[in-house]
Amino acid sequence: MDTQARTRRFEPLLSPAKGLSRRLTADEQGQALYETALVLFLFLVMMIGIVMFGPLVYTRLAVDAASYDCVTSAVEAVSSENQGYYQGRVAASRTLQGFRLNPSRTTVHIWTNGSWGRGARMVCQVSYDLRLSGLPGVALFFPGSDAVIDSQTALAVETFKSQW
Amino acid sequence: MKTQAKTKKRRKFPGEQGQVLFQTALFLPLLFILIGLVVDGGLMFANYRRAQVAADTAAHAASHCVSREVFYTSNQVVLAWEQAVYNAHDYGSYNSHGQVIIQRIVVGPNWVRVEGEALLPTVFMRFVGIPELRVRVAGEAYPAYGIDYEWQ
Repeated sequence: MDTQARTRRFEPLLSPAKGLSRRLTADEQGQALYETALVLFLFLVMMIGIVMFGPLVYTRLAVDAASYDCVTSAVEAVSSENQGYYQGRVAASRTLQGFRLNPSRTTVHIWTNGSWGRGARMVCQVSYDLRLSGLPGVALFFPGSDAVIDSQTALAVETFKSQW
Repeated sequence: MKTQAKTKKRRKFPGEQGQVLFQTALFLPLLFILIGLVVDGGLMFANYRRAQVAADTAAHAASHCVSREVFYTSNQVVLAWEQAVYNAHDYGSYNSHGQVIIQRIVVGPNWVRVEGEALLPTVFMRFVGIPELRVRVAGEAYPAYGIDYEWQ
């Protein structure tokens, strides 16, 4: 055995740190696994972001539809302000139920600009408390992601009640 | 000779380190494009629905403007043009938060049609020079006259 071969053979024993370092850099086993783990973290954050985005858009569509239905029902009451408010609340609640959203997380505000009367502007605001933190992984990567989504729609109180 | 070629090959392909990173860098732009389309598509659809609500309410508000004079004298339901146009603009801009430009209001004898253009802002597509998309929206409504009280 020549000197070089002997040195190579006993290198780990002579210098453990040097041997380990060489083994780590030379051995490529598990390299892909290591890199995948790095990349997977980025993908995970992106995927959770997309998972969060779906309910956000869905709820916004639902809340928009609810405020529109609320105001179109509320303005149909031509003889009583309270009747209009009642109709509006019921319509908003039914619309949200149709979207499979929880009406107990909803706040409906209906008001009239100035005094109530035919042709007066009536505004309906529907707010929904969206709890995104219940989705898997969202609370971990996006803390404080719960949001209130609201929509406001205005319409004039019917001058004469429509026939429908 | 053989050793030289081997060394050259090794220099060209030094190892398998960074393979996944390389592949990720290759496919990451594609993934970003897909995510961008998903996000922009969702947001644009939500904004389009809002614009449609604005057009519908504009037409609805315009349809309230029945000319009483014409009705009392001839028993016909005819819209008062000026008031109908004013109402359509007023409610259209209020409900769209300025995202709908009302372009045309056609008032017929007993119907009203509001046409407009919705400006749908983008998030990711603005990086490729598309800051917003313009989509046409239209709403129609029909006036009613004669029902004065509930349960009538």
